[in-house]
Amino acid sequence: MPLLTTTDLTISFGPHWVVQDVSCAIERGELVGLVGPNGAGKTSLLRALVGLIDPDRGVVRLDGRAISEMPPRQRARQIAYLPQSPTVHWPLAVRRLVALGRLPHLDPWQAPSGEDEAAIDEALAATDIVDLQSRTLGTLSGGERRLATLARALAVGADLLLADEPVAALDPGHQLQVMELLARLTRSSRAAIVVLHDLTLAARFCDRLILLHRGEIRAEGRPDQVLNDANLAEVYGIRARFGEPPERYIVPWERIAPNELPRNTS
Amino acid sequence: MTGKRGIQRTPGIKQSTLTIGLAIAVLALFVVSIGAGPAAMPLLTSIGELWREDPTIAALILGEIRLPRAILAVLIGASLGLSGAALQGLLRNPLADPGIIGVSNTAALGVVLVLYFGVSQFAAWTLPAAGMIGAGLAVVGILMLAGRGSSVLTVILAGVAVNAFAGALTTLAINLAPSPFAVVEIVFWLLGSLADRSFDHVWLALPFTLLGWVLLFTTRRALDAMTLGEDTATSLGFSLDRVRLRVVIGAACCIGAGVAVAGAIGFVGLVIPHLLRPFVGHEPGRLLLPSALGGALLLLAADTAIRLTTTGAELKLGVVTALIGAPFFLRLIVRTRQAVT
Repeated sequence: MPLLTTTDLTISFGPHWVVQDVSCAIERGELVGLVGPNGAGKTSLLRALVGLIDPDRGVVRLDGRAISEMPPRQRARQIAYLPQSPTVHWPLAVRRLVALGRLPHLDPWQAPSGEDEAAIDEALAATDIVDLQSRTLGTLSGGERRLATLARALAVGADLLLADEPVAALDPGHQLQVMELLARLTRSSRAAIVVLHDLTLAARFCDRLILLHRGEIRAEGRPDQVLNDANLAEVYGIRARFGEPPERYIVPWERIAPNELPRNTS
Repeated sequence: MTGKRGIQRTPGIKQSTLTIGLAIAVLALFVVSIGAGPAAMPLLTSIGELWREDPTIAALILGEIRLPRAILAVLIGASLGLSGAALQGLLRNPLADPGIIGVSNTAALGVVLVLYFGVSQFAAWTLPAAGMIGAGLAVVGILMLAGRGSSVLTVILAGVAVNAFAGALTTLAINLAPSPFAVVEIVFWLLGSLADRSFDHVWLALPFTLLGWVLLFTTRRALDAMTLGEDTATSLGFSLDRVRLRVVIGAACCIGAGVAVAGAIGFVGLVIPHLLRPFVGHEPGRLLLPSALGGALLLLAADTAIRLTTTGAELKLGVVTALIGAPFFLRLIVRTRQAVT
């Protein structure tokens, strides 16, 4: 059984449809990239998957169970969410921040157990920020702060991680670090859905891509099937240069003039 | 959770040490407070005589004057410190003090209206009830005015608006007051004081205060989660509506009950969480208990100092806390402005 499925998921804000009839399935062990231009509905889709938006229509199921019917804490233990711009409102120390990921596992008056501490240690080690754990967030660089918020999401220990642009605003070294980490993480029984704008990272690291355009799935499958000339032209309005396999890099090269755009054939 | 490494920039005190230290300080000051005063007090003997049928003068002074006053100082101080810490956690805003954002004054307005229309003569419970309704309406008003995910300064502006509205209605009540005597009584509630309180006042405030404390303490984990913003807190399994509701009702209960017996006392909820926050690593949930103890300590110290130092016209407690708190507020505004720009 797939870890996560959506059936005919439809979301609207007022009169505007932002996600329309999205049906997909995510298997354990998969790193799935969610790609598409700004405003394609990626963030809304992700927010619906974690239960932050109630869809107008359709169901999100985790291990066959509708998430809307799961107790919030149980859902929180199984789906971790890293928002597009993670905020931390108080100047916590990194370790305390990461420890917040364990909240779904704690009863209201229960102190964190050894298992919780181990999960925190593991998340710090996975993101390579063990040395930063006693620093406060204000003293970190943007990249380090981003890693700390990712560690917070990892500390949940969820089967499914939903990360909204986790590599945005990171330097190339940190981008590779985060993608390698996600690929490593999903080698076991876990899965992740990651919103990406960097097509090369999407092509290199993701097992599968879902290309979203105007709220609908335009293409879905292996990166080389999804990121082809026709799809890039139609969805992004660009031409790209591709590396020869096995070097799967994609460089957005030029915008296509509006009158040259392929007609919408769907 | 601090582990072996501790927290950088945190003063070198463990949280349990801080909490126990504050609790001992409150207890010690409580004993000093009921022991000290114009009338010499053989404390242990007088306590023993409290329950006798014909108590001595010393026991009477203890039971009728000093004890209720000290107990109220602890109850109200703890309520203010705790509510301040909880509201700041909920609004993610270090400036959210029940006094500054108008919660205390709206509670005072409720109490003033009950006094004005003479309802409290028939049922004493209407005083805390009116205070709680006023406080609750203020918090709900601020949440509605400020909206979701609002900035630090929007929340304060919403509070200023609520405060101004409560102030306008209160001055209207003063303006239309039937007699100078009524004016004095209304102004008295606005200044805040613990002078001449009896155990009747303690019993009036106690149940609502305790209810408020329980509600506020149950939000501690949720307030920690709110550190990460509303979306992430929801994704961690917390219901925002339930957290808001519990903080609103909890703060309304204990502030409303406190205002009903002692009037509006400001700034305790600002100063105490601000001072203690670095010691607990800035986590809102961990801040609740130390803030309650610190609030009790501050109010007990201020009231004892007033009682022992003033001759003639007694300084009002609310005036003293405002004199202590206003400079803190200015300092925090300067720091917040630096953080924003």
